Amino acid sequence: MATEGKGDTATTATTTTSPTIPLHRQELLKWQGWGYRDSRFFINSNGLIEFSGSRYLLSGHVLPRLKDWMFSKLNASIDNYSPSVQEPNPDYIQEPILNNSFITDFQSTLGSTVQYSADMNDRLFHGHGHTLEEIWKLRNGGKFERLPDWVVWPRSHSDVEKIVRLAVKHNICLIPFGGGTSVTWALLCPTNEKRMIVSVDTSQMNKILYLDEKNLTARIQSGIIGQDLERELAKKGYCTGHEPDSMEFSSLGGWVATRASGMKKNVYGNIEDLVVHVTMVTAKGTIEKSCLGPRQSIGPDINHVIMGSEGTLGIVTEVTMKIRPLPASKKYGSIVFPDFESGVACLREVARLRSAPASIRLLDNEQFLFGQALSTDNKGMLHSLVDNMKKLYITKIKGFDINRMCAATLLFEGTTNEVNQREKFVYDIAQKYNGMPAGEENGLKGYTLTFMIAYLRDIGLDYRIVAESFETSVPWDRVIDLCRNVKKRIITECEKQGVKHPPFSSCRVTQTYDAGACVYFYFVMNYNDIRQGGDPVHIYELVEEAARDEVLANGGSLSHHHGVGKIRTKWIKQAVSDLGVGTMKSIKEYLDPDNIFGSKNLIPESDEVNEHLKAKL
Amino acid sequence: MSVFNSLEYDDLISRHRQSSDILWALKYWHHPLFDIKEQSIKSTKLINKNTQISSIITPVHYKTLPRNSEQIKSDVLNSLALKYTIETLDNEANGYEQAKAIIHEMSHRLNIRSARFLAFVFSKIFNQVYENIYINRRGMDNIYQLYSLTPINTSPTIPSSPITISSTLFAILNTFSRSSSSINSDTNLSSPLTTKHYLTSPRIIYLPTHRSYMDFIILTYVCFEYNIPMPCIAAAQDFLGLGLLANLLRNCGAFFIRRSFRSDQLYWTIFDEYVKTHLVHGDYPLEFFIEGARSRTLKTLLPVRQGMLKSCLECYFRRQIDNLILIPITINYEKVLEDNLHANELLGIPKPKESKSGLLKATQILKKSFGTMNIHFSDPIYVHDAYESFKKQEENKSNNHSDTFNRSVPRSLQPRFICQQDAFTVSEQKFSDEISYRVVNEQQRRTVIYPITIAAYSLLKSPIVTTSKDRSILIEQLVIDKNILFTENTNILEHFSSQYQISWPVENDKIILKDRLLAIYSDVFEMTRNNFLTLKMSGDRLADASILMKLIMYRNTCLHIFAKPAYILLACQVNSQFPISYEQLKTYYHFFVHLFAYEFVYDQFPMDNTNDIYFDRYLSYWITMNYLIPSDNSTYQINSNFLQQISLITSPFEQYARAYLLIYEQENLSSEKNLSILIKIYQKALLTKLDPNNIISILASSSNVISNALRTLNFTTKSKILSELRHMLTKIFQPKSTHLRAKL
Repeated sequence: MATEGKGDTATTATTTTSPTIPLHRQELLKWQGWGYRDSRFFINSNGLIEFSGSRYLLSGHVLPRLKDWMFSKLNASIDNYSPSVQEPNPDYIQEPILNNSFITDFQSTLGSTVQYSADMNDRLFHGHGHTLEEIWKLRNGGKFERLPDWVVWPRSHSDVEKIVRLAVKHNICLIPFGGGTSVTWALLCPTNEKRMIVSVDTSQMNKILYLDEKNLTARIQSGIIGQDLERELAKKGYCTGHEPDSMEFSSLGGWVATRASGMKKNVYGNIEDLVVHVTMVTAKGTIEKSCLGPRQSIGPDINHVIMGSEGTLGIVTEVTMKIRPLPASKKYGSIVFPDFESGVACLREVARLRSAPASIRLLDNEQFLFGQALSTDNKGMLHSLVDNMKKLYITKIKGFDINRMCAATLLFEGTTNEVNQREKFVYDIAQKYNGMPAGEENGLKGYTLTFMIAYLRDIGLDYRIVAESFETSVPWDRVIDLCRNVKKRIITECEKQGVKHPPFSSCRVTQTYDAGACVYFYFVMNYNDIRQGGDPVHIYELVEEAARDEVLANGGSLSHHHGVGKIRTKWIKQAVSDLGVGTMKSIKEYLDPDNIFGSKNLIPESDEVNEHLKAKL
Repeated sequence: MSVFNSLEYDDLISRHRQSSDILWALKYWHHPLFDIKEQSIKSTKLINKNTQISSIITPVHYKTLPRNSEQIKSDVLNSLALKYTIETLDNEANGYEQAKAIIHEMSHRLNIRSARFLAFVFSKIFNQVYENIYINRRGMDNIYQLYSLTPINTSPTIPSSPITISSTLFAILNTFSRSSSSINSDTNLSSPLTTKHYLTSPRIIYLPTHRSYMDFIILTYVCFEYNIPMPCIAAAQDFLGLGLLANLLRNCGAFFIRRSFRSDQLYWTIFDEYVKTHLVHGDYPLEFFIEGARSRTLKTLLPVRQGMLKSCLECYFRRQIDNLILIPITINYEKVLEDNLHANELLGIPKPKESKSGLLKATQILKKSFGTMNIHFSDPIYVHDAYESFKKQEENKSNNHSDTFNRSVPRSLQPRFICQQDAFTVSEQKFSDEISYRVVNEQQRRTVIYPITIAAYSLLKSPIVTTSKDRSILIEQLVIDKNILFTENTNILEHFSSQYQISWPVENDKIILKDRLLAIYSDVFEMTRNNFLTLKMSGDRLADASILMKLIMYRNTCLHIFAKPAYILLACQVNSQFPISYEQLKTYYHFFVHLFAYEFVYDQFPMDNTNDIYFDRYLSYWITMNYLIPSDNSTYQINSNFLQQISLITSPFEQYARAYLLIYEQENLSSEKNLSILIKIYQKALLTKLDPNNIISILASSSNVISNALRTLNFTTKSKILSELRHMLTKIFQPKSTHLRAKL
């Protein structure tokens, strides 16, 4: 099939990638949980938790201590098994709203080049993201009030232009779909949308159009997912270095649309630092800058209008992105600190001296202890003897308190020389703050677990445990207060809502900046024995809301990289002021007067609702 | 209302009388939050190292908590806020020296040894002068819960049994084992935080009423008794005159602050930082008197002083702490230690300077009996919850869009290390007003009414006490009046507060009542004839006035309970010839509510243009009581059969209103702007006309009443409001009052 992307004219080195994700995503991915169908935690015949499949380092391994941790720390029990429904219930998929004139027009003009589907499973998969509420609904066979009526798979920029043109002509609602890893309800269809909703899945726009080795940039179609992008670039000796935790599934277009952040941003930068040029198709046509100059003073940056627009302005189709030669050396590391405060102070110092490694993450005590529970296989006698000696040394001689100590994981990248120097430098700083190097192995383990955490929620849900994470960014002087207060708020709010078992409330500092840090919170709650008539998801929502209020009161941001979606629109006014929201609105009204991109993300609906009510009266 | 029930209370005195004071003072005292530090050599080094690294992230290491007073001082001196202030004052060289001097003068030196000494000395004194010291069990349980301790009722060891050597030993053993046992046992209580209590220790602020010097000591004493952390107490600098005793107070946690220093930026910064450092690190609870000074009138001092509370609240608004726990405490004295001094001061006889010789004189006091003391810990107010619900209320109230040109800088944008005096946003300020009023209201809800209050109410019924008949009262009459005031009208009083308690002899035993009044208030009463309680009037102008003033003070302790409902009766009473219409009654009611805004504590501070929600309820109550008779065209008239009861209830309020009128009638005395000087001018003028037999005259000469009356004038629009108020009061009282009195 010939694609006529406008990139074609300039293509010098089009790469034909072999995409990981098939057209019908549910063939490879779980429809009711995170990740690959073949990879999941389960309790094996020995009654221990094991990870299945063969895709990950952990695959096929048993985690002997995890079950104990789950059952003792969270008071879970093997008897409270609550499996997911096996298949989506067809009765719960509402009849699609179809716009026949659009369909005939589409079939006659694009039918031969652009694949489309009205299949129930495709529609369901494109109608949700991965927040707890959504997964809960899927697992319990709940009904989504509104789903996309159609899914289309454009293959190029011009396909998208044609689709949007048709949508404008026939007044169709379009919702862009990248990797489907949203955790902000951004993919949920507005329930009051009466037009036909078409989900535009960019997954077939997955080619690297060309590599520009002189400028170290690459022109890439927006639908490529992180792992494919890195794999293909690596074949040529390059990388982008953008590694969000969801990189296995999330797409370039999604990163741009939500202002994503990668783990290794200290070396490579966040998405806004990486993007040189971006092309987006709006309801009025294509918007882009006409120059690849590295920095431009030409008014407010149009790229920044596109970045973070969360699918409300258009569909990102192609991106020119910085690339870097693959690092010669890559080294993991870890440090243990006597307490969280010392750890934060150390990270602050590292940031102050601008000597941060590619990645530096500080786990709090709860997560540090949890990390111990995730170790694989019981070690040999000698090994555990050594472990015990270490533990004795740390707790007895160094005076660390096991209920306070925490750990940082590090990742160094660069030339061998750079890496060694940086490593020594960082460890020297750590020593000033009573940190002790704790070995490469622990660092590596920490980073492997990054991809596992999302899978863990599914086994939690199997045993009546709900879990979620949320993030924020905050100035340095408030980091410790924010972490402590939010963790405490989660616990007190759970108590208030009648949660019987103490929740797991934990945080980690995942990014450092000159003026602040990014903090990630984890909240795990066993919902057995909750107050009568209590709905765990509702309680969970109340707790999350209280926690978010607390974050804001502590001077934290509404979001560091997840975005606003629909889950956080109620705070956007507070975050950017009335005038800020007005500015966003007027951009939206100019670019999309008919609300073709009607996902209703980002901008609060309240005024519309009021007008609606007034009209009714 | 409830009759005082001693079962809900612990009595310190009866417990102490059964045991040795010295053993008690030497008992094992264990801080519930901070373990005895088992620091290895290495970890001590670690602490030292940590304190050396001055970082904005971790100013204080958890292992150094609780800090001693020197560490606290140096933390304040090294704080960024102080650095910033000194830099802005542009006086760097001198600044630090000044700061050091200020903090040296201010700082407390709380230590357990001095607390033991104080406990020993005062257990001797208390056992001598008080019959009982009651502490409510529930309040103590709440505090124990905050510290994740086992409540008193369930643990037999803490101090419900008399202290002997063996019980002391037993207690020592038990406190050792408690730390480990309480974690595992008792799942109801051990919150998830029990094992991780260091996540945040509770930030407690004790807010007692302030009637007597005793208030400074009593809470520390109680904390020692119950093994809970002893508070740091804000005291006024006047106490430094006490020399040794001031030092003892200092060692027991008192820190001394100047009376007014808002204009002194350096002092203010140090004070602010000093208060905050205690809360931020959570190593000591704080105690301060929200009224700002001892209330000589035994009534709440309004308006509430917010300075210190605001510093505390700011820690929460800045989220340096996750929550703040306010515990209002009501300390009720049957007889206030220094009631003589109070009465004299109110009449303009100056307060003797705090001195050692004064203290010696005070030892005379030890020979007298001061009845019972009742300490009531109210339920904790969690500032976070209060603020959340306050914000919700505000959201519902106003829909208007904020002025985009006149923004108030949100907390998340304000730098946290700078000490700003007016950093409060509009809603924070409003909340601060509301919560401080709530605290005094909460304190007043827990009033305990002693027989003296009722005796004073009865005796001062008529405003003139010239004849000996007016000056004495039959014991039987006290019982009758008590029933009118408190038994018959329980329902209406409960609207304001269901919490006050009445301490009264069982079965109205008249002999006990009489003996008690005579024994405790021998300076006021004497017995004449049979069962007649008579005032000890000597004929000396000021001495007589002072005796009446004392009665006024004791009557004051219960007036806030009656205030709002009584306004309705008062309005009807002064209009007794004609029926009064609903609207007019309501106008009068609101008039009184606003007139006495600083005189009596209500459920909330009266705002302009607000309709009091209780008006209708009170009105219908008086109708069901048959005190008021409604006629068909919604007018109301007083039921003359109940005139005696009604005039009893309204008598204090009529007296206050007339005293206000007397004050307002003073022709333009001065254009002085300073309130305290103005008060003195007024008082001087009024004292010259003092009639020691006229309660209204005495009231009008009281500095407190003058200042409240002047405050009501609201300063800025003074002249206009003055003429309005005067007109209104004259209209109400002047033309008919002669008539009314003739009737009585």
